[in-house]
Amino acid sequence: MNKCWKKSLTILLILLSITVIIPASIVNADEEDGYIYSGHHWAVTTVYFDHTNIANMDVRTAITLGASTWNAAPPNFNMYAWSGSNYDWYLDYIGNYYPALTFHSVNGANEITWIATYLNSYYTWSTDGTPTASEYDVQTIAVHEFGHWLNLGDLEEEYNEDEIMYHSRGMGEVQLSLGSGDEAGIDVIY
Amino acid sequence: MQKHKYIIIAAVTMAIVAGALVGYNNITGKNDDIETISQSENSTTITMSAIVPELTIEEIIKASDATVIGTVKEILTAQRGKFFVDDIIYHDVIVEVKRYISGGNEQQEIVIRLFGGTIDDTTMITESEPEFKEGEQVLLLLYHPPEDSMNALPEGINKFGLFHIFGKEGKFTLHDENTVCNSKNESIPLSIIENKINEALKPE
Repeated sequence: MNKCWKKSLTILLILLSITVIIPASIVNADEEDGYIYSGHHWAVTTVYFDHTNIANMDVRTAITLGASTWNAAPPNFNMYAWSGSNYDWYLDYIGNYYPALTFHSVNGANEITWIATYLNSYYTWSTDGTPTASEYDVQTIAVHEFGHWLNLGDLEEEYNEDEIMYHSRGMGEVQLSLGSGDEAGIDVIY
Repeated sequence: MQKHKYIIIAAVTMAIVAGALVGYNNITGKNDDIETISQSENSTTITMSAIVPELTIEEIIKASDATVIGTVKEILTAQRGKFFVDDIIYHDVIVEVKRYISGGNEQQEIVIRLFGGTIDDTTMITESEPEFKEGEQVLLLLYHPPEDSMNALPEGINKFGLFHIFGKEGKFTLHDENTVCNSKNESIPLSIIENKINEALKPE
């Protein structure tokens, strides 16, 4: 009986270490892993966004293409355009600095309850994939912002500048493909 | 030893797993902050994620309305209102101006308006905005937001005294009279920054 008890305790302790320590380390993954996971999550696997606040159809198309980049990646989480969604995209003035902002709110259970992205009308935007040195590429910025919709955080270290989630982008820059860290991040989360 | 072999095996396994994972992953302060803030059942956390433009300091200087050296006098409690975006949490930082390097006006006290703060059960987190401490000596690159994008002003401050900052890149901390630190904690002689400002603002 004594031996049986000890065996059970051993198995329990091993299971505990796997179920507690490994998830905790994933939630606290950081720059060295090529992704940062916010710890927040959706209660669903499909999220709809409404970009009809934006009058320019080419901008809307580029935003939708930004979502498609992530939809094409393996994990089963998708983002689609739908005018009935409460999760909006805007093209508005949001100051003289940030090209784009994404706000999201979570409740006490870390579930996302609201999200919105603003493209800054202070800047000039390109939708044809060939931005000039004084334009931001909509699709490039959209791919990055949709990474926040997926709960990935911004990467600040320069060795991560090839990742979509690198925190800084310049005018004239096009970056549409997911990096290995981006893919690893969504693979872990979803 | 034989009697306790199962416990020893379990303990060693846990130690190896924990050690490997803790050694590989740094536990970041921001993740801890998010989880701590979100623990209350009725609490709401709003996260603002900002993409930072790749701009040189010269480009930021040219875009600025004022560059000032001063002391952080007071950090006001967070407010809810319009700050470019409707119904957002923001807070104001009062800075006592020592001198204007450029864009001087009569304001001896100015307000830097920043995204973020806590009101009741709602916290807005903004990692791209700089943080300030009362008493801190700072050099700031600032711009005036358009009037229609602002909410109420603190008492004693008029619209000419309200500024926004160019993210963390707009804030330098004065190490001493002659040296500043940028957002990456790099020390730069103050004279270099002042020269850059003077060069950038020369008429073309």
